[in-house]
Amino acid sequence: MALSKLSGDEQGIVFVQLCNVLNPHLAVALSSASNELRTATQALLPQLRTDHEVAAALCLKLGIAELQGAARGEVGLLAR
Amino acid sequence: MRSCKELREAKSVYWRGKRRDNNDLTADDLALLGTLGSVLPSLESLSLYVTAAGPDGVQRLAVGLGAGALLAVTKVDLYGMHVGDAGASALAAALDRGALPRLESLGLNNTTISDAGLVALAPILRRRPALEELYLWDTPFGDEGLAALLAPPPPAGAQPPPTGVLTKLELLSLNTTEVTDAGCANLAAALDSGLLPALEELALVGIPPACRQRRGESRRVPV
Repeated sequence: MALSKLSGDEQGIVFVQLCNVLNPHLAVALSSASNELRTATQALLPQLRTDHEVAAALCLKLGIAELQGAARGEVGLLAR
Repeated sequence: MRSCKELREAKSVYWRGKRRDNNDLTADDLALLGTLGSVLPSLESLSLYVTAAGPDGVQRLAVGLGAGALLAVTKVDLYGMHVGDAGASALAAALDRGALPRLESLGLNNTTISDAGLVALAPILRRRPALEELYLWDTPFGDEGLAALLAPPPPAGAQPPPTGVLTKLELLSLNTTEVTDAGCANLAAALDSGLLPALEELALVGIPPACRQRRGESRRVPV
């Protein structure tokens, strides 16, 4: 079934399932696929953006700690 | 780790908090990390040592872990953090929801868990047949907590339950807990009755001499 044939609620469910705050691109791409999808997901995008920014700040924090630890010859964070 | 992609693909996250480090992990960070548990499919090991996350950081992390969260994690090691009884209960609830389904090694050393916390956590741990290592040293629980951890012996003549025992537990560390002679006697009886059949290492440093003596008597618990 084409996505465009789904109801607004159903499109919203698909969108929410694709919302990954560490990888929001899929959900954003879905949102951009058509005017209908854009309309159906428009209200949900700001929350995804906010959640992604918060998650990205944590990633940055972890990254900074890793660099500082390496500079001091300590093991602060390993993410391999 | 300079991008979300790196965290998403990380196999191991190891954080050691640093004193006077204003950039240490906070309770909010741990709460966020918990909610991210469902989108970290590659993570196998999570180790957090002495962070500034405060009294409810671990509790908030656990609250965020839903069913199937941290799907591939086999090792969780929390050291020097305030877990407390509330955190232990929250962790128990997370495990009961189905978080950390592949957990094999759990370290809760120096985490302020008392009897009440371990009583809440123990029944859930006993239902984790894959658990191989349990580290509880420097944690202020005593005999009641230890008794809860040991599956109660089945009635005479009854078959042992197929679940509810730590059948694969190979290592149990009870160093410098508040377990007394009575608790050790209970532990010895449990070992003698065949509970913890896979146990290879039992660490009992810093608890009553009778326990260590008992340990010395046991050939299958060579520490």
